Amino acid sequence: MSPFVDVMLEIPEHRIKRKVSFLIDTGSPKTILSERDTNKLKIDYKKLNAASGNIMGLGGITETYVLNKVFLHFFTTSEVLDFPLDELLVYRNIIEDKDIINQIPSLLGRDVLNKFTLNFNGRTRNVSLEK
Amino acid sequence: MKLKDSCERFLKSIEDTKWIIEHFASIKKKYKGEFIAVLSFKIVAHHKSIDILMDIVEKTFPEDVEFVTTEFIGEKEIKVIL
Repeated sequence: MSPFVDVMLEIPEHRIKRKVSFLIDTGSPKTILSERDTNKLKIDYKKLNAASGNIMGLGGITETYVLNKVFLHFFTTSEVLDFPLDELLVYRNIIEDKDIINQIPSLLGRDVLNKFTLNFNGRTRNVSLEK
Repeated sequence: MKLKDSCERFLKSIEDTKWIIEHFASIKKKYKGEFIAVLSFKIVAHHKSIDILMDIVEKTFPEDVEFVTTEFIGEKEIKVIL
């Protein structure tokens, strides 16, 4: 089982707040919203600004867009940690196989992970972020 | 929603994520190639399009839409290697 973290993603500019599962990726410098989750949030690619240059990611070369000033809300049993993120990259895959695109997850990259202590127990498959 | 309630609600939705993982094999038999929406360990909607699935959830469960757990049940099994 891969290490996923469920986060409440808030995009004030688009008035959207939805739960998104992010795959923890210490190899990615940036946090990335997958095409599947972009569609879940009903974000119109036409309203997004393109990022500079295409990026090699899951599923090969992707068109990449940017969402600015978003919030990741992390929940515990008694409090919510609001994590502001200046820039969230948004993928759009060039491949057309929907069966693959719809399985490509969003990634929680080092721009977020570097602010936490990441605990991963491979035996129990438990993952947690500690502030 | 009060802070305590929203924390409880969100943590409950994480249990839905775990439920999907635990029951993936049986879910796949019925919903292959579709998105599913899960609330409180129940598949409350399914559709091939995530847009339409979310329309259904927004209309049917407006108070739960922020917390709904969705998953795509792929026909091909892919392994994500980072």
